[in-house]
Amino acid sequence: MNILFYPIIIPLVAGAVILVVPKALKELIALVGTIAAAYYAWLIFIGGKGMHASYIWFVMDQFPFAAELRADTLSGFVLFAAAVFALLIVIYSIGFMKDGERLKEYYVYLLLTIGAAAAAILADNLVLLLISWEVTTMLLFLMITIGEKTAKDSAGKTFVMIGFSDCSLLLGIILLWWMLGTLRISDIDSVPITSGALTAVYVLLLIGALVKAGAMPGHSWIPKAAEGAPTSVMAFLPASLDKLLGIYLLARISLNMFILTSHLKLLLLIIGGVTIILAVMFALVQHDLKKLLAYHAVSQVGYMVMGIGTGVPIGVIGGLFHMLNNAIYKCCLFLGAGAVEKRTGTTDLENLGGLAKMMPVTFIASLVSALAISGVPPLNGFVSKWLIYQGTIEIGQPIFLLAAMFGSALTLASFIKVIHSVFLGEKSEKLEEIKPEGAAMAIPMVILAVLCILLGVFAQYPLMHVFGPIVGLRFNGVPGAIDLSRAMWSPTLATILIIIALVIGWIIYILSTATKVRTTTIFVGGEKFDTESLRYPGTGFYETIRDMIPLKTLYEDAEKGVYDLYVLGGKYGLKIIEVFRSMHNGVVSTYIAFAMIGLGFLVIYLVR
Amino acid sequence: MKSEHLLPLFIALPLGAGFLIPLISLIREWLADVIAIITVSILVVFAMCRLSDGVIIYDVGGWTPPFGINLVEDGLSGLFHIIIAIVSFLIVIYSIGYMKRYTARSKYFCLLMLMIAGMNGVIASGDLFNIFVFLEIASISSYALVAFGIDREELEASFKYLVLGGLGSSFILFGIAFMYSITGTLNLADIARVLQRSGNSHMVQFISAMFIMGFGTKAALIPFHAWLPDAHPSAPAPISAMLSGLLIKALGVYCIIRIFFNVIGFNMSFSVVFIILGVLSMVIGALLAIGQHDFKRMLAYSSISQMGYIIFGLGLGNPLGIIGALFHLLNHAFFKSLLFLCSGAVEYATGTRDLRQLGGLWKKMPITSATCSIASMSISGIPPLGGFFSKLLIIIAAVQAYDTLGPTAYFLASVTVFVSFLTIVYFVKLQKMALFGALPEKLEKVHEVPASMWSVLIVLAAFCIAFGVMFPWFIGTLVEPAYQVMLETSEYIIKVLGSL
Repeated sequence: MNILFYPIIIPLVAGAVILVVPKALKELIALVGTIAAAYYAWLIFIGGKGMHASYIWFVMDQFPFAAELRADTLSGFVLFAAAVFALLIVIYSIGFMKDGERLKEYYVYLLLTIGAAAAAILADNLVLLLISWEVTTMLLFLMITIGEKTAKDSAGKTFVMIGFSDCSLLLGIILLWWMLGTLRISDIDSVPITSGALTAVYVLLLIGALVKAGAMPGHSWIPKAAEGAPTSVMAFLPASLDKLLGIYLLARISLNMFILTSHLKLLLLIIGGVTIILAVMFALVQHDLKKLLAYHAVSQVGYMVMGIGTGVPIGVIGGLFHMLNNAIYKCCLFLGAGAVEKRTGTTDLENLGGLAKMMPVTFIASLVSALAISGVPPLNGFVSKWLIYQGTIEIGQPIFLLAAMFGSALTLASFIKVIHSVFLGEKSEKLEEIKPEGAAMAIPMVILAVLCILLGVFAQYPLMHVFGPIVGLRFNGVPGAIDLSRAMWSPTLATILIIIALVIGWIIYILSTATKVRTTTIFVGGEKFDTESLRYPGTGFYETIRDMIPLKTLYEDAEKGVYDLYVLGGKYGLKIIEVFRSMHNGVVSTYIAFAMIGLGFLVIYLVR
Repeated sequence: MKSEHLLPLFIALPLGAGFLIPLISLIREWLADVIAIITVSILVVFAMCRLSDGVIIYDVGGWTPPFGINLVEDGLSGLFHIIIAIVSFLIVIYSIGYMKRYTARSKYFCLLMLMIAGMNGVIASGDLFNIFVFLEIASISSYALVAFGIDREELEASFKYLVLGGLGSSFILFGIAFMYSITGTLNLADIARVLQRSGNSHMVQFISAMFIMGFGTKAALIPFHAWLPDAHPSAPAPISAMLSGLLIKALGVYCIIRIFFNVIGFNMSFSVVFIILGVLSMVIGALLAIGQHDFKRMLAYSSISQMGYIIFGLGLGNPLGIIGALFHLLNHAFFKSLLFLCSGAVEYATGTRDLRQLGGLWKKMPITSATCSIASMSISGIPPLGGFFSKLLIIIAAVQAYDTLGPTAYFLASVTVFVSFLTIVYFVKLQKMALFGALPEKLEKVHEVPASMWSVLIVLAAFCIAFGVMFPWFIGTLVEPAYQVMLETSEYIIKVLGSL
């Protein structure tokens, strides 16, 4: 069998095996399955370029059902990244899900998701892509239901919203087949979008990609999912795998399959800009750690969409690199949130605080990834954002540059609040003795945090060897044109300079009087003081912007669900349903009237 | 035994069993179960046996048509026979456990057997009047079975069903009478031959309108659907499964296919009518299903919506549309039966079918919940289950209809996809309200239904998965032969009468 089938089949088989073996073995099999999948994904990543495999299953009236796979730099890389995330999540779950319910199911769904995602990434056939795409949607639904009591609503909203985008993808794929006569992705090469019908096809496929990735206006399932889903599921799917899949498809359709018109590029830029700003505004005022992270997960998608929307090599590279970076630090942040939740039993910022001493690994890892997501140099988030900024400058759209940079600043602001309320600040009295996170949870976080640093400091290597060639698929000769290590930004040199600056700063701090701080207990004339009421949890950091004039309506509308297509659809949908319901009044004569009127129309139409 | 002699047994066996059951259960009540199971098992074997055979014609009493009555078994009847045999077999086994809640088991099984006999008769009959007779046998037993609980709600539903079903039947009878008056014969093949010679007249179009209305009522197409949302939920769960899974197809869709594709001949005006009826049923049925809080009522509206898909696919008239419709019919027979049986299992265990009072059954009733989830995924069109492929084929067909309909085809394809989304919406609602979330305190003591019931659920769920994973095989063995029958009116005439 072709090696391309291995990363698909191994996890599927491992998932099936878990169903039948005794409970105690499930973690082991999950681990072995993901390691094997990651190994083959690595082989495909380094050596699979140009590989393809094809197996025609069935042809009906010229519509082929075929398992066609192929690997190129983009799919090989996305596949490997997905497999690594899966492996990290499995390791983490051993610690995080230990006492959970429906554990066997959880591991089965996890493994099946990996197999289905691998099939979606490697698919060279649009129907195969669609099938595996929808399978991941279904599995996400089932995985979310494993969570807390409220998980059913989260799962329902998620399934409905992604289900809508899957339907749109389905229609897009069939129309594409009808217009171009092929379902093979590698045959659809740089089709210019000339007609209105092709624009519609592109937009349908775009909806499929963007809702999965979580860009506005199809974003609202992510914050809802964060309410109920197990945190490891949040870290795996909405934070990393769904981003990889969604942006992978976006890149495929925008860079490979079609040549975008300037209007469509502008559409992407606008979606990107609006997503960055609005989502980060919502994130600022969240009080729940998981929900806050979920809104950031939405906001970051904006950068990727914007990067790809610029359509210039540097922006596209930035967008794709940001896809990887975001998956890394967002996954790490969710894992950190999960560790906090596991040990304290809450993710409410109000009740957290001072965890830095008790959970140092989580603190450091979260701090690194928080700095990375905020785009602080020399971490990876900075490099990719920098490339995206360059892209917007190159196309001469300063307004989007402004949006991207402003969004980045607000992200930093928001994470200052998180770090303060969770790890610094004073410990809430409600928290009892906290145990450290344990090896199974710590290892994935450390790996991800180290990756954040390495990909930032040595950014030139992945950019030259992975992302350059990916963009080279379309823009020939690009890796030479933007010599990242010299002309624009030298990450390694910059890091050295930053470290030197920090050391100098620290020396100045030591030498100055800043160390002479005196700490003492509160004394107010002998009166006993409730220290809890004096605690400053950090949830109030940005409360004032809630009341600022233009923003006030924004937040009020957001609470009413004006920006949530699911709520809007539900509201107006129910009104339509009410009309039909009122017609069914239970009176037989009404029903007979329906039938006779129907017969009347039939006779009039047929007997002419 | 030659296989043509098996054909009357499809009708005779259940009919005989129907009369035998009340008598023999006077000796021992459980004998009713035994006879019912033996009958349906034999029917399954018969239906399997004749899969490999081609067309079988049986002349009753040796009188050749057009003078005598004949039974015709071809690919189309074969598809329906096998669906009815397998599903009713499973439903009978399920009933044994489920019907412990009711008294008068023997009457129940008697009516069930009559219903099966009626459906098999409709499918095997080669002439119009016998189709009507068997249709009435099946309908009347179903009126009685809907009222089987004899509560206020059940009786009201049964009355509505009786009135509207009777209205449909009388228009079918009108149609048959008019047909006889213009062709002078009742044999389907003979009518087709006469019509082919005389061509399509206004009278034929008028008769067609009556047939569409009559059989449309049986198939619960909007606007002739209004009996279904009351009747299907009120019946005992196995009967709901029979009604939604089999009866509306055998009495409605089968007759529409047979008459419009083999007898009158399919043309553009029927295509338009079917597409409009299909779209109306799909959209309105799905919208109404979203608004429901009663487990079975939601499924009932969903049946209307899914019947819309089938008629829509038929109306498109292109190969993939018809194959997709027939495959969807096959799928629907299994997943809708499974869903109704799951609703029965839930009602059996919890005593309610109000979704608002349910929740968290996943842990308490794992088999019911998992099978219910599989069926829901299949009907919502989630791969790799059967429903995905049948809907995909219908949507592809809708796009292909561009050749005949122009840009309207794109609109129709979008509507079909949108209804597929609506289906996801209400089945997500059903799953999240019944299966997931917190378990209400009242339901703490709930436990899984007996093995005789859950084993049936597992078999049906296995079928739902197999239809997806092995869909080329099922299309090749079951759907293709049925599709071949529908292609040509002349073929049917030659097969039955020997010449044009």
